[in-house]
Amino acid sequence: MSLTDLKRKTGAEDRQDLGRRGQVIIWLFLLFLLSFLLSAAVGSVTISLSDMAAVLAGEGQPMHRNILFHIRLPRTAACALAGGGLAVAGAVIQNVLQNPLAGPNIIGVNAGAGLAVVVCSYCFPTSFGLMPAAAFLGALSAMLFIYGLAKKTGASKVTLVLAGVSVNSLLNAASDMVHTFGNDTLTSTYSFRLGGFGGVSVQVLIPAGILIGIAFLLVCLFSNELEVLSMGEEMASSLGLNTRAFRFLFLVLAAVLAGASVSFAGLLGFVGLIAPHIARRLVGEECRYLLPFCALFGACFVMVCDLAARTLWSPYEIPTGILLSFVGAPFFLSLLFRQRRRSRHD
Amino acid sequence: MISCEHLSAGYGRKRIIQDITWKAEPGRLTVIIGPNGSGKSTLLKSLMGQTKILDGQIFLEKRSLLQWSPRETAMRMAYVPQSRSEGNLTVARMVLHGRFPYLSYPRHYTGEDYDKVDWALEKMGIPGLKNRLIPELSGGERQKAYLAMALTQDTPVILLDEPATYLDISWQLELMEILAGLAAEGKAVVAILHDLGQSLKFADRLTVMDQGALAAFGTPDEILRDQVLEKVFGLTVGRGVGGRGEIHYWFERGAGRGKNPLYQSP
Repeated sequence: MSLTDLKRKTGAEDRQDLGRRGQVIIWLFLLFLLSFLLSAAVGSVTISLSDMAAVLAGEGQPMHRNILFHIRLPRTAACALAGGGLAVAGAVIQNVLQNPLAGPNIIGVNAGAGLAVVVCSYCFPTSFGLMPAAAFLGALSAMLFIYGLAKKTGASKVTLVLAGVSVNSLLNAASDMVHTFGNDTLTSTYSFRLGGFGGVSVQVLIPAGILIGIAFLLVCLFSNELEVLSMGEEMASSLGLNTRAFRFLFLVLAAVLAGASVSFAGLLGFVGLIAPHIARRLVGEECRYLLPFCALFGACFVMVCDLAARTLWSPYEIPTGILLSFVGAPFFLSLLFRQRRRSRHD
Repeated sequence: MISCEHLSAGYGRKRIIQDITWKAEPGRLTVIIGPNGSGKSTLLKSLMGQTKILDGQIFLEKRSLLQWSPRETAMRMAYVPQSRSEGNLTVARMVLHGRFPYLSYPRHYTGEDYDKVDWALEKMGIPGLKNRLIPELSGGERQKAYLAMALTQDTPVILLDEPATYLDISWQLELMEILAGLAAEGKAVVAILHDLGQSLKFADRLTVMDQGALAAFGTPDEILRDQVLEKVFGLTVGRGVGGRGEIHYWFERGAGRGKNPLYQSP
């Protein structure tokens, strides 16, 4: 076989592979649309597709209109945004820390954002626009603390998770204290801690959604840099990447994604851990596929979990976070055991 | 070409290498040897700009290293790490990132970059590994993938940090031939090695480090003549000619043990 033949052949393989991963993402996108429609349609009052179309065309029953625009669509959009935001944040954190066990809820990033949101809503109860900013600052502080700890002590991957446990409980204790002294009702504390979309308000959702969108686009724009960074510090800087600046940029973007999500969804667990792992299995490590996959998968996953939480035990509604934990915690355990086994073999 | 003059460097305020004047020229395989903790890695890391320079200067193509931007440096100098698995990319994707320094906006790799990957994989003899994941490869295969990446980076200088460490002997010998071949093509190849015999056999220039200082720098013959290895490693070194006219080196612990009866020393 001549060299040109060989080139043509490998080129064809490239395209085929590109096609397979592209197909996975297209299927996932269809699933996303389906979950979105389902989540908007199904609930205590089911709105059929034709009713929905009528409402969107400016006709239809006023009740359907109210439910759709004031309850279902904000809630569905909130699920999609939080799921996508946390999943992409997880992928970025795992790549930057080079630690497959790291997720925004595991290492305390969500808890940091949560504390900031609680403090913010205690001090400025009516400034909704401030919440995502406060959540971002809380998430970033927790992230930088954990990163500094990992760097300074050269902690192993599992040690970092353990450090996350203590950071998590410290931050949550602080949140609880603010709640205790504040005049908040017990129910809102409870649902915030568990994570859910019961009382999502459009005023918080819009600024948070804009932040998530911008951060996601920036992460995608720098996907090559993220990939090079995941090859290790020495390698990345020998390829001419300013590792310090980009690592900081990515941690900031992850904090924006996680913080903005937490600001309206509460401490939603495990999406940021599960989505990147499933993405790696299905589309591989290349960030230009990994990131869109994570965003779509995270969105679908949370929408479906929320739908189940709303409908399975109807007329009762359980917080979405509970369902996510039921799925996520066993997944994390299996990951932990696999990781332990691998590190013993290394 | 890369060189340094009166270089002292370390981490933080800690001085690890002292007053080193040294160069690696194009077309030569320059090998760095020395006991553990003698400053080999620090020298290599300093050349990559990853240590704190306390004194002296490093020159890349006659210009101070500090005057090049990180990207410009990456277009002139490639680095091959010790064989270890970081990241979980396919071979093709990792090798493609050798083109990272050449990326311009809109930050997409071009067809030319992909062609370069095929060329480099072909050259290293591993086109079949293209779609395999890096952690799945054997140590030797991984090292070839890293070398292919350095080739796509298309630099006149290649630095290798203990490239032979985790390789079995046949991979080691193949690696040495590859490195000698790259040098013969006109690249300045710099490698830290542990195997003295292979270093003496394949290197065009030997750099011997001892306690942070440059103990000697010259051709293997000069190093042998000046009995540097004896002093630095505390060894007895002998050279003999085998049945096919090939040259063998032997080493024994402790200096001045006399001649090994198995070989005729020249």
